Amino acid sequence: MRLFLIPVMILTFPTLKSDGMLTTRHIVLGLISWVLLGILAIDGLFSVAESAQISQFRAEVDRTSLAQNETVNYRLIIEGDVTNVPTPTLPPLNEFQAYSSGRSQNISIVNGRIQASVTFNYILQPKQPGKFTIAPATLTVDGKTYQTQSLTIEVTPGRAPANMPPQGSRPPSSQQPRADYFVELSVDNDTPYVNEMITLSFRFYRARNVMGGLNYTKPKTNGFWSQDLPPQLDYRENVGGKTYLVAELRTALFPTASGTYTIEPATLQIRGTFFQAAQTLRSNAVTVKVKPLPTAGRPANFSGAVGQYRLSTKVSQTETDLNTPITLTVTLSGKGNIEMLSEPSWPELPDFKFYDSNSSSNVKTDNYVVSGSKTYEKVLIPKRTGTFTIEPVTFSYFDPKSERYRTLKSETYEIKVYGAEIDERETNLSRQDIRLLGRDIRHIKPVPAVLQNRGIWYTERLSFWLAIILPLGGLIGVFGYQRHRERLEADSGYARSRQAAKMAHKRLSTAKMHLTTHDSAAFHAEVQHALTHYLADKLNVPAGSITLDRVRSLPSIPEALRPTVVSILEKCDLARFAPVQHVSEMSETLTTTQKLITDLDKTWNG
Amino acid sequence: MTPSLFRLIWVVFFIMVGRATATEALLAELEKANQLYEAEQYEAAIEHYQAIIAQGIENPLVYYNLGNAFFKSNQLGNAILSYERARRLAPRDEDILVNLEFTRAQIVDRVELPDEGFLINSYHFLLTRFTVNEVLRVGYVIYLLLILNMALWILVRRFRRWLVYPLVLFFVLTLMVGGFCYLKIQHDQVPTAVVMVTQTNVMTGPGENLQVAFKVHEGTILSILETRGEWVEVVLAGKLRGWVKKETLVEV
Repeated sequence: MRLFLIPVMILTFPTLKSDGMLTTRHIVLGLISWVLLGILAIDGLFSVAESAQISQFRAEVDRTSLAQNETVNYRLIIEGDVTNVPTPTLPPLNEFQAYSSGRSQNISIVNGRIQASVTFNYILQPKQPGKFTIAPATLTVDGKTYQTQSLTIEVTPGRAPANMPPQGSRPPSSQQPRADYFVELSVDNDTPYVNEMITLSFRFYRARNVMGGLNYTKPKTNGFWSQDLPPQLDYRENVGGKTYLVAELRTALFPTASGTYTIEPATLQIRGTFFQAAQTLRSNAVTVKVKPLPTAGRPANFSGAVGQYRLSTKVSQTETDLNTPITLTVTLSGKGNIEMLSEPSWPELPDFKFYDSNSSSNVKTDNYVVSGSKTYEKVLIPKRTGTFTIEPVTFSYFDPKSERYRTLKSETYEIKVYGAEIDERETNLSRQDIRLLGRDIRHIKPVPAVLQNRGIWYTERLSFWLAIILPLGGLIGVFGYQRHRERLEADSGYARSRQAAKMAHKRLSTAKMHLTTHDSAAFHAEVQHALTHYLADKLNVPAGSITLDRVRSLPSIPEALRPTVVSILEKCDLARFAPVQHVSEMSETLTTTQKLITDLDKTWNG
Repeated sequence: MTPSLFRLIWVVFFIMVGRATATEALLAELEKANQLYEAEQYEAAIEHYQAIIAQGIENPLVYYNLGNAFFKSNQLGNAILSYERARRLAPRDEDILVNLEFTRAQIVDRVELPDEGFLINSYHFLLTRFTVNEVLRVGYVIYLLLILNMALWILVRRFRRWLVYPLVLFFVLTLMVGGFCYLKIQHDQVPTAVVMVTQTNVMTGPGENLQVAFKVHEGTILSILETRGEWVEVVLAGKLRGWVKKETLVEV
């Protein structure tokens, strides 16, 4: 009990991480199954402690009626705790020749219950025709004795017609004594449907040991797709009262088209030795009539598959984002010509990019039947976000047993696609992948309105450096302006000096007004005022201190202009006592004064 | 005061807008080249694009279209060279970047730039995602703001206390951007070149008889360190160094 639990636990473990993604659901299911298995294991321990339990002991035969030259498989099946069962005792089998063909063990779990069984296989060969009863077999475990039921078998004389192909050059006859060596070719079904599996058996009968080597030439099986079915079968058979050792080679044949085909004879060469002459054995030919598949009820998507199949599908994930592909895996398994299976019908998937499938097949020939599975993988890349339904994958086949077409349908999947930007720059695809996706460079750009020359750096241009320096110059200007403003506020002498010329010119324009009214006294007073105030402002002294005598000696007045200043002031002094009548004389004084102030300003301001 | 401000604005305007623009004849030439490309006459299209460039017009669009024409005529080395030139002029143009990456995926040599951590990577990002002129433009605006700030600081005595903060800020910014401008110009002045021959040997020194350091294939981008006669010293992805014949390379 404990021993076989270990492989069971190992077998269940892969369900935990079968698709590589460990979701919460998987973990919970896995934990539950392990807890259950743990309980079962403890349960098993206790049952072992109690006693070895045999729940059933029964006998089976694969057929109850057979021809004399055929054999019957006799099986003794023990169910329950089968860890240490002894070999059962066979009943007396006087009417048969019995051969043991080994034991097999089988463990299965049904609804959480573990069932184990051991089968002992025997081949029984009847010695004579008649109706025989096989007495119960017995089994003794821990002092307890178990018994099977008894079985009845009817043996008819001669060969059963179903297993005896009528054609052939030498139809074996059970009554006539035969040669020591002969070969025979037969098929289990000579009227199959197209692509239905038939078994071709080549049998080599020998009554004596073969000393030399054997050279076997396969029969020509034109019109069939063939698959060898190892291993070789070895058994004894009684033909015409002679016991032969039979070696049987089986080949699975799948007819590729309807019509009548002849399988040419196979030959077996026995090479000569010192004791034996060389001999070539030639089998019979076999004719097979291949029926076309019925047209009635043929599904639209039928593509020639014959046999019994199952369909299972799987998606790698049901939630994805835009640049993550999903793998849709479809597995077809069953009996039939697995290698030649065509793809199932894929649903329409407008919301996905659908890439070529990757198919792999796994063919088995257990029990002389071609079976296995074929897996197709499709890569789906979502085109847009949202929730999409993947419609079922369908597959149709013809079942030759029931002679009907059947259509398989897979599950429907809901796929949620979340948004994510597809960054083409990040995908690092190999050359082959690029070809596959049909990617290319982006297209050229159209002609623009203007074609700018962008190749020159600003640092290569003079204007750039000017643009750097000019604001600096401006800043220096701002600085100077601010200093001037501050001096005007803080330094009254500076302010007077800066304003002097302006004030003087203002007074002179007043003087000009007096000139027009011929007011000589007012005119000269105004000119004198303008000049003395101008000088006082410039020299930053009180206006009253500027007298004619002072002007004559003041050093800051430039020598070149001193006579002009003196003459104007003298003129003004004189005019107070003797008014000047001539307008031309007064206007000359005015222009001289104006010129003098401008000249002085120029001299002092540099 | 006023005339000098006027001149300043005029100069800035000149920098922003006053670029040499192509004449109608060049636009017609480009139109012709694009038509040839559409007609899948790539060799003829290449000639027309190159004629525009020969006129002294350096425009990313022309280089991009030229790169496409080279790619279509299966001259991957020239395609990469053209895309690189286009990228220098328009470093954030998505079409250019996509096609450059696509073409680089097709060449023999796989050059992976080392991952040097966040700071260095973002520094490289800044260096490669902007042109020299763009960096200079940003720097110039910040410089102008600093000058304006200084002028205000001089003129308005009442605000001096508050103006200190932006003044310091703009001063630091100007120093930083100015420094970056300098580094960017240094970076762009290091010439890079594209391998133009199917395969060439990179030697350990400038001589035919020296040992082969490694081999490079068409389309691989190398930085040039030094030129000595027939030979140039190159560095691959900042790691592998060696000397290679000048005629096997074309400068970007």
